[in-house]
Amino acid sequence: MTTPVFPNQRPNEKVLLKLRRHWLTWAWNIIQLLLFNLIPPGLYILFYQLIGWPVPTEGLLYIGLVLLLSLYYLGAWLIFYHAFVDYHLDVWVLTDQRIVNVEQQGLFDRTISELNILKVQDVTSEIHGHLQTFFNFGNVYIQTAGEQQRFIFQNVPHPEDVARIIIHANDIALQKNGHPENLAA
Amino acid sequence: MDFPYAVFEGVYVFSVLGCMVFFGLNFYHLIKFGFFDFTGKLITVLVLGIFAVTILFTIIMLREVDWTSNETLFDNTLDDLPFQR
Repeated sequence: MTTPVFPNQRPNEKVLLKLRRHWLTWAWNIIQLLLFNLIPPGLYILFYQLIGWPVPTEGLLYIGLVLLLSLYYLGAWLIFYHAFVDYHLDVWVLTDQRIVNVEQQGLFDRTISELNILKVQDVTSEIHGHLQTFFNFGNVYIQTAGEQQRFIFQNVPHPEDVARIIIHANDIALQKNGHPENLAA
Repeated sequence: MDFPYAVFEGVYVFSVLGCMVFFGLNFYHLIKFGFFDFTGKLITVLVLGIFAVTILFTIIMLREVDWTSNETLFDNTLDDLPFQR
């Protein structure tokens, strides 16, 4: 058996798609990080170059500023890393047997939903706005016959292709396994 | 009032340890749930590198500080107030 692509992958299960939100949805965190990194040099230029305050080179003020700056950068990059982990652990997986939705909310809150591929009834892709149109990402809505009425793939790249692949996977699964009403409850 | 420099050092070390714990929790989740792919590795190495550089620069900038010494924050100016005579 090959290395599993996602947790709890079955031995005979073939992964067709592994999706995350489009990188642009995470771009705000990158911009935020850049701004955080530029604030201290900006303040230095403002106070010490433009206003002309003397730069402390020893004493309590110097020590305090250096340590504060250090903690500031550690904190900024830590926030960025946490945002990345939160983004990276939100995954939608389409296999030849099921659709798995893994959603991480914070560090200690995780929701995993599964849908048998045979229970897919309707798939809709949606692209709204100039940003989504230009970068070709959007939502995919999967109407199901299961307990959870609707699966949503949010802000995924190429939503039209994703919808087509899901429908195709459902067709193949139906051909192999018969009508979904024949499934055991 | 004398303010020892070591207090700053203690607060800083404690804060860095807290940051490391939080980083470790995030890293643990990245590995445990099986998505430690190339992007995960790249970002992790990048962030660890930034941490190392930041702490290194801090050490370099403060290497000549005598952490056992104190600084007087308030001198005895309050001793000569009129109503205290």
